[in-house]
Formats: sequence, C-alpha cells, structure tokens
Amino acid sequence: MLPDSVPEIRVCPGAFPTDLTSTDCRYKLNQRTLDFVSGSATDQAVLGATVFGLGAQVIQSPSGWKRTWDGYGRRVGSRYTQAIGKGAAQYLIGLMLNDDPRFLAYRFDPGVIAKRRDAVCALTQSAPEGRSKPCISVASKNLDVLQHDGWQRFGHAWYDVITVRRSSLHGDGRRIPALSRFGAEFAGAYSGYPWYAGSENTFSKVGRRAAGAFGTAALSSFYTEYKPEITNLLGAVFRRGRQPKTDARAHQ
Amino acid sequence: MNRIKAWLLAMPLFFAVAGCHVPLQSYRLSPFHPAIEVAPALPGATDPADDTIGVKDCVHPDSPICLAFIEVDDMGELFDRVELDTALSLIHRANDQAKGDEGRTDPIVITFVHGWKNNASLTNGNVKGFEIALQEVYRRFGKTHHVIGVYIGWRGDLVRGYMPVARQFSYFNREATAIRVPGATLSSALTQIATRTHENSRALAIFIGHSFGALLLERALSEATASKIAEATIHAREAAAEQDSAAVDRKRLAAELAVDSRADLVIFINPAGAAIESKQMLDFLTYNRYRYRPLGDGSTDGPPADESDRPLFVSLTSTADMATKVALPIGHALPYLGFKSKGSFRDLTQEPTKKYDLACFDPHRPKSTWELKTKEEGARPQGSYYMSTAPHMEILQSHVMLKAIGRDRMRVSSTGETIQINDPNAIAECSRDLFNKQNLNIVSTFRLADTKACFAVQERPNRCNGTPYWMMEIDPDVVPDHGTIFSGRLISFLIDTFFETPQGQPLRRMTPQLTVTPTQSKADQ
Repeated sequence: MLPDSVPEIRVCPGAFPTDLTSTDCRYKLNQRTLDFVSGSATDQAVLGATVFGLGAQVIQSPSGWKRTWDGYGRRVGSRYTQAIGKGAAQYLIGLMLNDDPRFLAYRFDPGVIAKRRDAVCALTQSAPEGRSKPCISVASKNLDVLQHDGWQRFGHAWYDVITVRRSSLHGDGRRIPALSRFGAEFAGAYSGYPWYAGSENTFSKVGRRAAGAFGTAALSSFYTEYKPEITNLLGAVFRRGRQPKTDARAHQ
Repeated sequence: MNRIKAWLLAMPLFFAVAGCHVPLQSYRLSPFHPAIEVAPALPGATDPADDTIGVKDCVHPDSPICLAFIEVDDMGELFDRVELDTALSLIHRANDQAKGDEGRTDPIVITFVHGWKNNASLTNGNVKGFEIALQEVYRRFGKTHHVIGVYIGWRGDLVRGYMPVARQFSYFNREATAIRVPGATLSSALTQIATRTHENSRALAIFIGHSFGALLLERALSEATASKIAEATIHAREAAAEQDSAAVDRKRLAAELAVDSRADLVIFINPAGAAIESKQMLDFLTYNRYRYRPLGDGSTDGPPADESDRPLFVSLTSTADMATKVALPIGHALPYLGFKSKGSFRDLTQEPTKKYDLACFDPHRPKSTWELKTKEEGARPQGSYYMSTAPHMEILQSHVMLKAIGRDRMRVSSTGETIQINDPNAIAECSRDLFNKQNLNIVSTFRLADTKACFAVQERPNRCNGTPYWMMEIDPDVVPDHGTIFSGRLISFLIDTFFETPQGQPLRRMTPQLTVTPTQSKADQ
C-alpha cells in the first residue's frame, strides 16, 4: 500500500518510538534554567514550602518554633530557602559537569539496551570474534526476547538516583556519579542555616534534612520506572461510561 | 539576616508580578512570515543540533511543502486578514500547478489547530512537530503532491513555563477561550480553506485538532458542517425529484458547492472537550440516518473499488491519555456540581417533559435505528456527557482498535478483551479480508512503521454509533499519552486507515457521499 522503506528515526531515550519531535536529546541551557526556575524559585516551590511547612507545623518540627503564624512563616521560609539553595546548586554543578539529571526507566536506558543487545548477540552468534566487536546487528524489537526482570528494574531505579548521564545529542552519554544531585541535597539542607537555631544546624541534623530530600529524588526515580503500572491503575479507576460486557468477536 | 530572608520571600512575588503571562500577540506578522517553506527532509537526514536554519518564506511556486499561519486573538478575531489571504493564495497557486498533471501533484491541505500550552511562535513544539509531520506526509504520499499546512494559532499558552502551578490552573481560562474563540471568523476561514482546496476536485482538505484545539475546531465546524450537510441533502433530493433539466443542474451544482465547502475529513486527536460538545452533531447524523460512502465522483467509469462506510469526523483518544481521562473529570467536577445544583442536566427519567434517551443508528443492523432508555441498556444521564470526552465513552464508540498479541490472538485496546483468530495468516499478513472471513467486521488494518506489529480497526460490536462520526480509543502503542501526536506511528495509522494511496498511483480523493438510509417501515419499528 505504502512505501515500506521507512527511514529509521532515532529518538531520545525514553521518548515514544518514531516521535518526530524528539531527536535532540541534549539537556540544553534553556531547559536547565527553566527546570531550575520553575522547580525551585516560583509558584511550585512556594506551594511545596507552604504544604510541607503546614505538615511541619502540625507535628511542630522543629520544636523550637511554636505553632503560631510566626512559626508557620519560619517553616515556610526555611523550606523555600532550601528549595532555592538546592536548585541553584544542582543548576551550577550540573552546568559545570554538563550532566543530564532526568530520570530514565530501565527499559529505555541506552546502557541497559547495549547490554541486552550484547546478551542477545551472545545467544545468537556463536563466533567468538563477533563478541569483541560492538553488536549492532540486533534489531531493537528482537531485544524483547529478554524479559524485564523485576529486581533489575528496582535496582535500576536506585542506580538512576545515584548516577546521571552526560548530556549528549543522542542521550547516550556515559554515566557519572550524581554529584549535582548529592551537592544539591546538601546545599539545600545547609540553606536552612539562616532560619534554624544553632541546635538545628549540626552536621547530623543537616544530614537528616539532606537524606529526606534525597528520598524525594528516589521517589521520583521510582515513579519514572513504574509509571506504566501507575498509569494503568489510574486508567482503570477512572474508566467512564462503561457499556455492558458484550461479545467482542462479531456482530449479531 | 532578616534582609536576606525578605529578599528570598520577595523572589516569587517578583516572578509573579514581572509578567508571568505570555503576551497576546501575533507571532507571524512581526517579523512578517505568514507562510514559510518546509524543507522536504526528515529528522535524521539533518543534524538536529543544527539550529542555524533560518525561516524561508514560501514564495516559490515549486516549493513542495509550505506552512501558512492564521492567528486569532483571545476573542476569536483575526490578527490580520493578510494571513488568511496568504494561505488561500498558496492553495490557489498549488491548484493551478496541479492542472494538467493527471492528479499527480494535487495538493493535500492539512489544517491543524493546536491545543493548550501552545501557540504559533517560532520555537513552539507544535509548530516544529507540525512541520515535521508535513515532511512525513509528503514522503508517505510519494513526494509528488504539494503539501500545504495551515497552522491555526490561538493563545493556548497563557502562563509562562516558569510558573508551572499557575500554568496548570490556566486550564479553566483556556478551556473557556477554546469555547469562545470559534465564531464567524474562524468558521468562515475554515470554509474558505475547504472551498479553495476543492477548486481542484482531487485535492484533499483535512482538518485536525488536538486537545483544546479539537474542542475549538469542533465548535467552529459543527454548526457550519451540519448546515452544509442539510443543504446538500435538500438540494440533492430536490434535484432527484425535479423534471426540468436546467433546474436539476442548478440543484446539483448547489449540492456540490455545499459538499466542497466542508473538509474531506476532520480528525480530533485526544480531544479535551466534553462529550456533550460532540453529541449534537452525533444526534444530527443519527436522526437523519446519514452514511458516508465512496459512490464515485463521476469522473471515472465503473463502480468504485470500495463501498465501505467512511468517516466524515474521526475522534481518537489514547487509552493512556490521562489528561482527558483523569484531569478533565477533575476539572469539570466543580462546574458539574454547579449545573447539577441548578437542575441543568436531564436524567434518565421517562417523564415526557424530561426524558433523556440516547438515539442509536447502525446501518448494518436489520433494524437500523433504536433508542436506549435505561442505564442497563447503556443510556447515560446528560451529566455523564459533561464529565467525559466523547471517545472515552464506550457507549459512543463506533469502532475499537485491535492489537495482535501472538500469532492467533488480538486484544481490544479499550477493554483488554482478547479475540481468538482462527486463521493465523490473518495476523501474519495483517489482512482485512482474512480477518473478515471470521465475521470480525474489520474496516482496516495497518502495521506500525517500526515494529511491523499488526493492528486492526473493527466496528464495535453492538454499537450505538454507526454514523460517519467515528469515535474510538486507540492503543498506547500508537499514541502513548496526551501530547505525543507528531509520531511516525500515528501518521502511518491515519494514512493507512483513512486514505487510499496505492503505490505509484496518484492520490485519489475518495469523494464519499452522504446518503440517507431509507426510513424503516412501520412493521420494522
């Protein structure tokens, strides 16, 4: 019917196959700036500080601040300052390292795909010299013969928290330790310094705050990994206008 | 220290005050680029990192792909009439070029209306995506046809990206705008585009709307299209009854003009309007028992190759589109309560003054029209049509998409049910005829361009909607979410399902004709 010779479109990792708009995978300066400003400086940061500040108000943390408007203002202000500090550190360190901190699901990770390709090569090509060369002859769809292992996905979600990729055109930059993320968590935790009393600024308390922020990053990574399952669940919950079950095979 | 704190707290206020709104403006009048040339190359052929390619105005008659812009403001008025004139002259020029070329270069005119968080700016993702989609269409139609894109720009993006929460809350404002913008200006612009395109009887006029753009397009077209359909039907009927040959010719011409002033196909992708927006058009087509079939355009002798029903409107939504599946009901919840408390919705009561039945029509059933009156039968109260989009409502779906899973099974994308396929060659060859030997009522099949996975579009069993307004949920393998619409997979699906392009042959406008199914006898009813 139509020409079969469809030119292969190389899309960014995690992008929808054949997405015509996702071919430049670099984490560009304007995207990095937008992520910083929108995530750490404007309404989203204010909303986060307000909501989490309210939670802290309820459990009266830190205990030195009373449950008054003044105390609430301090809780919100400290959280907002931490968000700014965290975002600024991630922005600056990321800029210096030219990293790409966006999370990737296991099945889209170029490193994982390369390993799977090698594994399929090892299974299908017996010539030992073939293995020393990069295995490029395996079509992407044939990689599905290797099932996605549940524990590998779980492990990859953690791996993605502690490492980032170098920003690159095809999104396959090598993995480096997530210095921008670690630095950001600590910078964020230390940014609360002007707000907190001396007893709250000990290394262990700052470390605890940084660990809490790191947990949020981990949650985000797990959401990226398990998004299809979460989407399916939500889709099932919100299905509307259901018709009575009918025989799907044929008409009367 | 307090000063630092004060500065920090003032920062979000600064962002809020220092212009978080995307200004109301035309993006193509200054600098003046109402129509640009699109290079006929696909991504991958050029380095995506090369951002240096400038804007080139579409002035050369031989340019195979051109993209024109028509921009309207928040009130639905054109920024400048010159944009519409430019678009119309491009179409006219392409039609002129196609004359005497045996249909090989007949233009394909695709009009696209973008959705929320988009506009007509140079850097907008939808503009870039539409450009690339035009390149792909040009390639898929054998690189012979002129492809003209018309991008309808409106202020879909109200709040800048650096205020993400405020931007999300612009949903209500932009939905109201998408409802307000369609009016005489946009409706007449769309009519002119279709009419100008059909100066060449083989040229195709296709309208596409995405998200709020689909809502906007539907509101702009419904009234005009229903009028044109009614007009064409009346003129055709009168021509059939008329004795005087001059009067017959006059009536036929009037009917043809009415047909030519509407698009050949209107596609809504992930529409973000309530189903109640579509229901009036659906009811119009149902009550009049319209079918839309290629009955030949009179230019060729002999019967047409395929007389199966074709769509005039297609409303497609991904089963994984959470924006319309989850966010829209949440966004509509408060207004719903307002309507409900004022008694604005009709319920499934059989009181004569309030009753709310759902009229059904399927020309393939022995009894082609019937009504659903109770919830058990599938009828829904009026409020349900406000809380969901049309293609997400199973009762309104005319078709379902099937996906091959394994060698002998297909899965219904919208329900997850599986169908055993008796002939394994049906899936191997992805053949409609082989599927239909099993009475599956498959209307088309297609393969994904990259994985070659086989898909089929089936008439929904026991459907209520058998009109030319097709509605269906599509598989996430074709459209994965709300926003990813410029993909090779979706373009392949649309072309393979809705257009006929025999390889090496010029594109043929199928010119389906609306026909009215004869009224049933009293005995049938």
